[in-house]
Amino acid sequence: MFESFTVYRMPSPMDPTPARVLVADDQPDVLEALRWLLSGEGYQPQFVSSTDAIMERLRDETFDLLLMDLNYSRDTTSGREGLELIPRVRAHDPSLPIVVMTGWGSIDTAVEAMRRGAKSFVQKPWEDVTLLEILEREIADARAARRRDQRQQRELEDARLIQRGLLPTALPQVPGITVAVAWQPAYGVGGDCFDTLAFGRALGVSIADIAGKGLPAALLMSNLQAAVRAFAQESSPPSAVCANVNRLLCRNMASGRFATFCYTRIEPDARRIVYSNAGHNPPLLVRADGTTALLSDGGMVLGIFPDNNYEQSEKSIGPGDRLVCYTDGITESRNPAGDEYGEDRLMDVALRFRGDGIEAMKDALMADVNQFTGGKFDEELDRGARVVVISHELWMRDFAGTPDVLGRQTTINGHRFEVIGVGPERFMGTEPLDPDFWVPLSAQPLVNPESDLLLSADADWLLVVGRLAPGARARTAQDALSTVVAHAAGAPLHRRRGVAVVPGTFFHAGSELRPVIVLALTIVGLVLVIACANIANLVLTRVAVRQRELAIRVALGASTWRLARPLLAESLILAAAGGIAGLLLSAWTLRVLYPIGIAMLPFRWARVVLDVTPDVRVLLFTAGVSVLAGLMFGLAPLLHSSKQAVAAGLRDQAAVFGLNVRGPRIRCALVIVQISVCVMLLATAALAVRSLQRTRSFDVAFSAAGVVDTSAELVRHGYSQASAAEFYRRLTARLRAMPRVRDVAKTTHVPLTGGVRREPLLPEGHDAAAPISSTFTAVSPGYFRTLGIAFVAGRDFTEEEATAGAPVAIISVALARRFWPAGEAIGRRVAVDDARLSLTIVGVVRDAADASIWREKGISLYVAAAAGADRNLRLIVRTDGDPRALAQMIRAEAISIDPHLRFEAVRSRKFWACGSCHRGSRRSLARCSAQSLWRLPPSASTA
Amino acid sequence: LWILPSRIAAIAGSLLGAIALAIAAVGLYGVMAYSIAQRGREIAIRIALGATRQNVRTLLLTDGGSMMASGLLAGAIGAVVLMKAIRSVLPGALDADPLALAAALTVLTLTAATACYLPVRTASELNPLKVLRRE
Repeated sequence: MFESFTVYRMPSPMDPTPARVLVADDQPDVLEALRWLLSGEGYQPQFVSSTDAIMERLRDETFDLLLMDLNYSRDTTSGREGLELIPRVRAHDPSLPIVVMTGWGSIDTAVEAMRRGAKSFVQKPWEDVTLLEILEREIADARAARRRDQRQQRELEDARLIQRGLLPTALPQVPGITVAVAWQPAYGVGGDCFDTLAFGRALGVSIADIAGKGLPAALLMSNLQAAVRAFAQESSPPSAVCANVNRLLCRNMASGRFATFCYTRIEPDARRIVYSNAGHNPPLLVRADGTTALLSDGGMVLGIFPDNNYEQSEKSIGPGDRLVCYTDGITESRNPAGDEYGEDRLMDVALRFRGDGIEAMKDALMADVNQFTGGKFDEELDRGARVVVISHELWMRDFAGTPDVLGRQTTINGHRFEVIGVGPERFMGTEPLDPDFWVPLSAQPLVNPESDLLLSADADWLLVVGRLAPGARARTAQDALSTVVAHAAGAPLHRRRGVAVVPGTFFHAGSELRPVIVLALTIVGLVLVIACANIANLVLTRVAVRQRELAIRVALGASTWRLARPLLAESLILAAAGGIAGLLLSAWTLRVLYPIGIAMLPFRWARVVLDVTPDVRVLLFTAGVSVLAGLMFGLAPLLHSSKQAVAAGLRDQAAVFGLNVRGPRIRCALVIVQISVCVMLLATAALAVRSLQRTRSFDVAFSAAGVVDTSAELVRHGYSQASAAEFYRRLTARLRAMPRVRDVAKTTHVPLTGGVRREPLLPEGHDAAAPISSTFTAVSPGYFRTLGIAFVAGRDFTEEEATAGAPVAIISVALARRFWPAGEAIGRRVAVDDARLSLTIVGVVRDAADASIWREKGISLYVAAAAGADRNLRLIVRTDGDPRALAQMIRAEAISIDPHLRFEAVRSRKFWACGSCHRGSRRSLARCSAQSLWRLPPSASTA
Repeated sequence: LWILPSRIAAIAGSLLGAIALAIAAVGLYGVMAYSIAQRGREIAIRIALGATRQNVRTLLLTDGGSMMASGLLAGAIGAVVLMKAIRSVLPGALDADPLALAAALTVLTLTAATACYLPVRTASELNPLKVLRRE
């Protein structure tokens, strides 16, 4: 211990406060030794001797470090107790460094402890020098980290204040114009800003939204603000302001960032407003007479192409007219059910309050938004620990399997997460979804900002997995849980029915698969019946041969049991041999069939590993069936022969005509059973084959050959609606320019890919009581051409209709015939969604398959997709060439637009194109054309 | 996933059907062969008393045929029931399909007829003297 004095250094001068160390060990002598050591070195140690005491002490006080032994009295070798404590401690205070003490040679335990979050370890018996060095280093690190966090918090707070200061504080005074302003900050700092500039008798209004959040967005916002003030002079036209600001931003912006922007100059004297809109939510002009206009002319978002040109437009105004400029913070704020506030509501409020003062209108609007969102104005909740467990596969793929992955920061959809664990190899969770990572439930809104499930009153998405205590019964657990749920505060009535506790299985076999399994077992059972009938026949035959012998033995006085013994023994041996052979054969066939079966599974299940080796239950069942069969077949002839009088047995043989009547009759019955069961089985097989044929030749009325279907969930990736639209616009332009690309179109739903939106629909002039449910798909012009869906009447949407989101619709033949059998559908109007939308029919197309081929195709309605109006747009591209190559090229193009996007490997799927027969040519079945799927998975990338 | 159930059903159904057919054919042949062998003496006497080979064949085939006919009838009823059951369980399967049933009946009739006819032919060609002498 003396040596330790010679090497000891004072704690870092930056930290004059003595470090508080909590020491946990259950051996008093260890604690005593550490007390001497640590107190002597200037630490403030505290000592506890049990795991519970650790947590208690941590709750009451704060420490700089936890030095803990892993082994406690309950279990002295594995260290399990100590290991289990580590995550609890980390959950309590993630910044508290933990150093574990392990016994000599138990390095595995130490590694496990580090995996669970311990920072370092010492081996017992420790060397004072080493221990002190470790403590000093870890405490210094942790203190630095805590300081860093605090500094970041402070900086963020400062940034917010500065940002607030950049916005105009005093409203400009321009004769003839009144201005009202509301600015409500979201969490942290954002990139939304506005400015007002008074030019004597005119007023300049700018509003902008920088993509992204946080400090970078705030910095860019101040840059943009300054640029606008510099360029927007009294004489400068709005289009020039946009172009100039754009050029400046292009120089200053990092790639992948951009801003939406709208500059408006209001000239009350000239009774007009002049504006130029660079991809911003169109400001709303509400005239005194109740008419409205959207200021959407202009050009592309700022900060991407330096040489963009911007148009400018004019609108006439009169006294009492209102101009409402807003950002997507208004229109995209959500209520607890997840619905967006939207432009329609905004317009409603603006119209309703157009007669009131401008301040009253502003207050009404803000109140309405706040009411809609349930008091949470654009709240970007910062809930949940930002920690992630990655799958073994991702670890190998993206982190090259390095052991120091734990504790690393990775970015998931724009949020930083700390890797705290790696899942077991091939572990897929509780559903066959093959996830790349797992985050805590509370972090769900971060990963998928589109739908905050935690705010949803509907708990259908939640699957609770538990393990029953030994001896507990599912029924008891179900009753207990149902009681809890029924009394849960705020549970909607229809949710109070209770909870179903079902056996945990990958396939949720419960209700859907059970009849299929029963059916399959029935069919297998029928085969078994045939086999049994056959064996019974053979046994009867054998007995018949020995009938005479048996009869003689009975006549000579052999007891029934004596006769039975050899017969039984023989049957049992035969049955056992058969059973064993069957087992061996089944083991072999399973090995052969398994890969074939797995290959037939859909690709997302491809990694499912099913254990098909026969287990004890199978063995027992087989043994049971074999023994039973042996007994039955062994005893049946005995009954047969013993019941028959000896004389009858002998006489039968002597008889010439009218042979053994009984035997053949049974055998006849057996043969009849065999034949009938065989007919049943064959008919079923034929039916199955015919069903499959039908599927293959099913006329889906669209052609999937050469079509690549892509979806990029950009909003999840932190894109705003406008920037996502811009991304699509550029990608589409690039794709159109590519050789071998024939058509590019957008849609909200690709046929045969499941879940399609349905809406009640009612033709105008028809009985309002009977709306018909129709699919509702938004498509871009060219959609029908791309998928080869033929027009029966009318025309496709035009580009203008698509961009403006014009109220026009294209319907399917089935729908047209339903209401206008004489074929006069074109030009008629239909009301959709409880008459909220009234659409004019411009075209009629062939009925195409929708969600799946099992559903009757038909009743479909297509509306023109306004650019970017729907977030879940999918891009479909048709090529003359190899779809796989096309998919790769799409990927390359998309990455060249935004290098931060990541894509899944292009995979081809077989099912989609199974019925690409079109216009009657059933011969040209393209059984598998590569449908490629690239999407932007919320996958982790090393930051 | 949409086609998967029917594809599996088709493959598994065909496989099981084939196995069942093979077992049934062997069984039928066995039973016919055995019962005809049992009746060897009877047949020999019939032939000795002047029955033509055609008479013998008709006699034996009638027996086999009646068995077959009742089997096919029972099977047809069972098959319709089974197919209805499948329809209710597997979405997208065809309804009870006369074509499938007809196919099954045809295949089975052919197989069963062959299984019957082979032993009958052997029986009708046996030499009555040899048989009777062996007794």
